[in-house]
Amino acid sequence: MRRSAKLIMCILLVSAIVFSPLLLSTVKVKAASLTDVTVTPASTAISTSANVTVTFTPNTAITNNTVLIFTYDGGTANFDGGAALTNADIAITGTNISSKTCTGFIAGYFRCTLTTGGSVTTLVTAVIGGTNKLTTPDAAGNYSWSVSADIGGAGTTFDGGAGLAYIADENDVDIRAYVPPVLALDLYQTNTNTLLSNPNTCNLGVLSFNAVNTCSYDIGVGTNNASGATIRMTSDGQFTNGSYNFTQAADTAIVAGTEKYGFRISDLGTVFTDSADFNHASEYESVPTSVTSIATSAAVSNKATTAQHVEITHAATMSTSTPVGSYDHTVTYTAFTD
Amino acid sequence: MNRFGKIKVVNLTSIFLLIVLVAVPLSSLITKVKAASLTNVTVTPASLNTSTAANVVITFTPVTTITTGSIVIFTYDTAFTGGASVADADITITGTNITAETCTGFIAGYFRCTLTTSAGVTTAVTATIGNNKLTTPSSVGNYSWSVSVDIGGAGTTFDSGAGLAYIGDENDVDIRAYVPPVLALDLYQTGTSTLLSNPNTCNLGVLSFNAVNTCSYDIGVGTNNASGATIRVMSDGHFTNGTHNFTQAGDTAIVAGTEEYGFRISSLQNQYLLILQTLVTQQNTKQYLQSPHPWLLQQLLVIKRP
Repeated sequence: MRRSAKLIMCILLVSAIVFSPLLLSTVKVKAASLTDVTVTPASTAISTSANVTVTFTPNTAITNNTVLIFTYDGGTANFDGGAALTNADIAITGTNISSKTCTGFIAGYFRCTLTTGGSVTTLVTAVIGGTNKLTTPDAAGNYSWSVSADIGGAGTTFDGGAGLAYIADENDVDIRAYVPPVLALDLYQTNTNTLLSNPNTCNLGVLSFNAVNTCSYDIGVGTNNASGATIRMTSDGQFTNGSYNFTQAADTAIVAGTEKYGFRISDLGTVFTDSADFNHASEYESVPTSVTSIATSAAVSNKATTAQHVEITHAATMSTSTPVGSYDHTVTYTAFTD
Repeated sequence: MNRFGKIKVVNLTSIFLLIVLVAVPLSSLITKVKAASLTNVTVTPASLNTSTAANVVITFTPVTTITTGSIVIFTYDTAFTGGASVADADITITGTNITAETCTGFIAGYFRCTLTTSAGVTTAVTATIGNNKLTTPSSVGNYSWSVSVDIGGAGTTFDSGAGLAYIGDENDVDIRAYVPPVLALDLYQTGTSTLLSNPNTCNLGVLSFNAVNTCSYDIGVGTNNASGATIRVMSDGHFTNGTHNFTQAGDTAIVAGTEEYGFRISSLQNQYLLILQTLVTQQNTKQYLQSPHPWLLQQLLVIKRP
């Protein structure tokens, strides 16, 4: 009987040794995280005197006499001036918070005891800075600010969280890329997105001294370049049957029966302007035999947008003395970005 | 300071703050990127045929002076194949003050070259992608090549431009026309451009056995045909009074007093027309030339130039 009593005593003793600390710890500390602590200096420039606004939303309802403890990167190189703050420099607001008393000002630390008219469960805002202010750190960086709420000041329930004061955009990353210009040029049937069939041909047909024959096509130029592009034109020589060159137009109308050949920009579209005097209602110009700019733009363009196409018209008529034969020459277009 | 003075100061402060708030971010943007256009990028493949291994030469003239460490970035249409196989050794970049280049990052349609320069580069730069490492596109077309220059490699100033590689003459237009032959024929007073008066008449007058009477006129034929034209002649029958037909000349002279009537070409103006004479001669053997044929009276045919 005495032995069993001893055994029971031993078991009780061991249990007490094992479970008591666990029990005590459960009773002593309750803690929850403040997950939305924000820190906003009025200036994020370095070495600048500025108010600092700290906000958070309580996790555990804040009751009267709750102590808020603010701990931050303080000192001369960090948020400086903490030791010179006073209670009057601190403002804490929030629903049911009627007043506060702040003390313990040292570099990087102070605490405030709240007087509340009821539980505080919504956003609490603390503004640090009045007559005396903190000075932002000397160097760009992200500086820790911790907020701990000793609920009711009992020392048993602490809600804590931390945020960062971002000085001189040290939390920013500037994402950069450079998009180079691209360029496209295609030759289309007039007013369509149907490409000319290679070899691209503009056939004036069988000429007559009773008519002016014409043929037309579109030049489509696309670029992502905001300053646009330029279209250039050249040819492999005059309009010829090999031995006889057609009389060239020179800013003149072509009249049936008077031998002449030329081209004009018959439609500049909505993006391009003629870089020389090529855009005509009825007059024609000689086709250049050296590289010549004929149209230029100052905006992006899309080669597939027919309204942005530049339409070219060639025209010819013969006289009775124009030698019989097949005439041709090749016109070449090039482009570059402006 | 009175109340209004304070308000003024507050307003001025607000305006100043607003300006700072707006201008500071903008100024940082301006500082970040500078760009100029390269307006003369040219791209010249050694072959303009499709699917052909060829060197490609790109040229441009800097706008911003190229300094050492500048990076030239080439971006091109991946229809040019073989880009991933290009190596530094395949690239040459030349230009005044360019001493070396190191090219890396070869993938399809892209590579970049860091330049070493002895001084600022301001004149034409020529880059050659050699050793036939690239193959031209399989389809005809105009293919974009972009050149961007990161000045000094600092990532703050970019000059860029684009040009096109023209494969298979897709930027060409063949302008065609056919001029057909035209033909004109008129009868003129001899040696003039004065048309005979209708009804056209060649009047031999009152004949005599003491003389050979003649009358002449011109035939003017115009054509733009380089191979010329043929004049043919025929009549409605013998030279007749209705019952008696004049004796026809037979390639003989007509002598006064011996009845005979005929015609001849009394003037041919040029080589072109000699052919006509031959043709007329040939035609003489045919029946429609029988009627006016042999020489009776001197009738002149003068063919005018077209």
